[in-house]
Amino acid sequence: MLIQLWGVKKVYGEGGQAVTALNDLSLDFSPGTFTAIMGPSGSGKSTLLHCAAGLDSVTDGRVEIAGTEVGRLDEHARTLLRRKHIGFVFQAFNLVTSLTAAQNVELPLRLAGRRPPRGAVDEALAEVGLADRAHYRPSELSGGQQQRVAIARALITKPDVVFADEPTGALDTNTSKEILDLLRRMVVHYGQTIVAVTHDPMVASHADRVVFLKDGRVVDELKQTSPAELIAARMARLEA
Amino acid sequence: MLSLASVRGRRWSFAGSFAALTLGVAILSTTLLVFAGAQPQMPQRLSNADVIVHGPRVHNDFTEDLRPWTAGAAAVLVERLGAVEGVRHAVADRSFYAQIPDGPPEGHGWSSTLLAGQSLVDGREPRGEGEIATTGRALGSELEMLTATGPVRVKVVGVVSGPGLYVSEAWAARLSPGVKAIGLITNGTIDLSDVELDGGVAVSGPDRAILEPEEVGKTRYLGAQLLVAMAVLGVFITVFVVSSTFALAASQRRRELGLLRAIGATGRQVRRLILGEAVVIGAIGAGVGAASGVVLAPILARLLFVWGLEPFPAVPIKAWPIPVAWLIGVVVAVLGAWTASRRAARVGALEALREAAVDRRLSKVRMVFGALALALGGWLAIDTASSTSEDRVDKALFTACVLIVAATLLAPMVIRPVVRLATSVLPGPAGMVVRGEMLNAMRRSASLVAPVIATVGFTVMLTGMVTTMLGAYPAGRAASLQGLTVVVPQGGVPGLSDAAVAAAGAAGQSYLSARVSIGGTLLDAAGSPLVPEGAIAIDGRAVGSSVPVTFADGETVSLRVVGPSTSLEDAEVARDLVRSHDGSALTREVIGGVVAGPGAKVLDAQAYAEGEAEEEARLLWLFAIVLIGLSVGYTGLAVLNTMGMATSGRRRDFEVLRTAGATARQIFRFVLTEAALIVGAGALLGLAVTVPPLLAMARGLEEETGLPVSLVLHWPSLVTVVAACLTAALAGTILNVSGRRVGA
Repeated sequence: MLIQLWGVKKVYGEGGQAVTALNDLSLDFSPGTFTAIMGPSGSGKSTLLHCAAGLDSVTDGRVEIAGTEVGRLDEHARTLLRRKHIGFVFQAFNLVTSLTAAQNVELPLRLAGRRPPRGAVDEALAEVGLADRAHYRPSELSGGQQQRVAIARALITKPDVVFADEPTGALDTNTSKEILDLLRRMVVHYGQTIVAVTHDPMVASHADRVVFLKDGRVVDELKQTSPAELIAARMARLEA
Repeated sequence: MLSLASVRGRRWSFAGSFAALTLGVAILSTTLLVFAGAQPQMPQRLSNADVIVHGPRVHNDFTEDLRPWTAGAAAVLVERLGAVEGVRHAVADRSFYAQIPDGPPEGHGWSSTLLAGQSLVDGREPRGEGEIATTGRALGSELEMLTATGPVRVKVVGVVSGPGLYVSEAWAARLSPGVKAIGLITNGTIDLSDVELDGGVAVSGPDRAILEPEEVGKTRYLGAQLLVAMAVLGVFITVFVVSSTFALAASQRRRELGLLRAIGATGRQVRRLILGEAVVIGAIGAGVGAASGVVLAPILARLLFVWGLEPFPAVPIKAWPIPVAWLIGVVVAVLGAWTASRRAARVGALEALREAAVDRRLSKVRMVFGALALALGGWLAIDTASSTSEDRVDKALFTACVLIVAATLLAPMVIRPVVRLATSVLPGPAGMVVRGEMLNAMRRSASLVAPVIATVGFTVMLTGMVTTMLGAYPAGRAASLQGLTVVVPQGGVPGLSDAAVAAAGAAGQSYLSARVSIGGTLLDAAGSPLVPEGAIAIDGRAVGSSVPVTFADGETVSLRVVGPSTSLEDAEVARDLVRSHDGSALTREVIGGVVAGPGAKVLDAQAYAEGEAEEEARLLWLFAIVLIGLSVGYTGLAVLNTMGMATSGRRRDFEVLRTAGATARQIFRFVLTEAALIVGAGALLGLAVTVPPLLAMARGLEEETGLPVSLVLHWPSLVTVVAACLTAALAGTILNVSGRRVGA
């Protein structure tokens, strides 16, 4: 397993104001799969992503990334671990505005002190269909194009897992579909592992597996690719 | 790559730091260039002397002088030097007090014309007493020449080719038997290594500058003080402005920094990014600033000359200050970005995912440092009050710097109640929105207030200091005279002659001012009628012991110590003893004198005290105005810039407000209210940190003068400066709300 969570508990705040975001949650993500994590607002799905990706620490329980227990690491070591094993695609503000698309893509390698292999950046951009936009700045790209650059960047380090936080949340339906097809292709062609947090059944319908959260626990799960209508119906039941 | 691209891509947000650095380094480079260029120069009147052999150096804590040879020793040395191979002329250069109307207060022996390279244009050289040669006077005209003993009728018998007042060598030797320098006119280079110089030192080329008259050096010293103050202020404000703009820029970029952290940048890498940006900005901004010093330095040098703070209208431009200023600029940029970079490194990866940051609280460390700075500033203020008047201005300036840092660090404590109070009386939604905006982005509010504190603080401090000091000093001085009148020299005359002292009246008290030396130590001595012949009153010597005192004529007299000096001078000796050994010694003033003799005037106590303070007042105001101009111009720019940055960084917030139903006019009102509150809080803080030290200074002055001294604030300048800050803040806001500037 690439990433495993055992009995994870996450509490924000203290005393009477304490909020339990994750409550005794166990989950794992196997290689080459696309998992969607769904749940109503406040169900803890964003917290799950932060904890599973090593962005945040857990109050109790264990999180293991590529065999390393995250809880034992300090922030610096967590950064190095993330850099090596994990890629991110956020909802918006994904790119450093002062850098070109190509520079944004090569940034993680640069930060790791590595020189991008010859042609790697161009290949990554070509993969997401932006070969001709390499020298554009984020402000000169559409929202969909910016997300494609973010995906190319997430993939350049060949991470074990890409975490996506509402990757299509800021996009229109058609563009969303393109981005989701792109993510799907990465899973199918390259065996990329993807974990996406979303509230959109359309996104979840591109996943191999859908995990439903409520009140910080896993309450339901669809173990195969499912149509959006079915997912929406499950969601409606949760929110009821 | 990232730092460079980042600076390029965010050039608007860096424009402020860049401008601040360019300006700061331009000031630094200009002052350094003038400072480096304004070095002692050989007096023009000795320019023809290829080599000068001068007497041994003597010095005290403040200045140095040359010990003269006696007339006899000088004659022997002149003869010996004249016999050296390659020496065409060896000339003893004699200088003494002699002044014709509107002329400089110095005369020389005829042979000094050789050293000046001057020749006779008309008439003949002066031979006997009562004959002079000079320029710009009709041959044969008769004049009254002032000497240290009194006025003498003289006749112009010769006209020379350059400026100067010359008398016969014999008369010169009577007026000034001692010789401080012997000028040599040579054929090519000469070898003096085997010549016994009787303790003297041979100098040539630029080293001859040691013979520069002391008055010229004093003028330069005044100028140097202003230059130092300007440079210190320049560096301080640059660090101040650069650090507050960098802090603001970093806090506006939390999301981007968080993104970098999320995709694998370590805290150290983020820190290096920010410092790298500072280096890029520093290198370019400081480069422009340092280079512009070359253009600005001659202008500043000219201004200082006009203000009487530099002896010469132009200074040579040296190369070294330019790279030095540049380097300091880069270091200052990095220092300014230091705290911002530390804070940026602590931005967590999760920031990338959060909405606009709320930072209500400022760290305890900040408060601790603020309190420490406040304590240090308070102590410095008291120290300033009790220090001597010469370095009070520079000390007060330093105090102001420290207190301004304190006020800036502690600003949030004041901003909070000011904002609460002001917004509670505002009608409509403005109160609620402005309060929320300012209190929830405390760091931004604090960054905005910082330059206002500096501007108002410097203005109140400098003007308050000058007005208070100028009120206190003449009052104290006048009171100490208890209604007596004082005889003082008229304008252009350096001191009173014996004749003027005698004419002033028997009741007057006065002493002769003279330079003497004991061994290698230079002393300012008072020739007092109360000290018996053969005695000396001096500090730090055993009563009854003998000390060898060398006078202006080079003679050394053994004097018996009778006790410590009772005057402000280092030593007191008999007046007649001074006169017999020093033909140029003058009397500064006669306290209680009632009659104006030649070259003198009578002043009542008040006029005398004001006259004493007049030159100091002129200098103090000059210093204050230059420094206020510098700091206000500079911090005004910072206010404009930080307000602009803050406003343009909040476009999105304004969009949200607009979609929530706020009209453009309402948003405008919100930001203008904020700008006014920022300036108000800054002005309050600026006043708050400067009034206590000013009060402490007033108490110090009370103790010094024994009279009540009230703190006088200079309200016109305060009102002007606050208005200027408000204008700059509104301009920065309006320019950016109306969207003419993009990016940031």
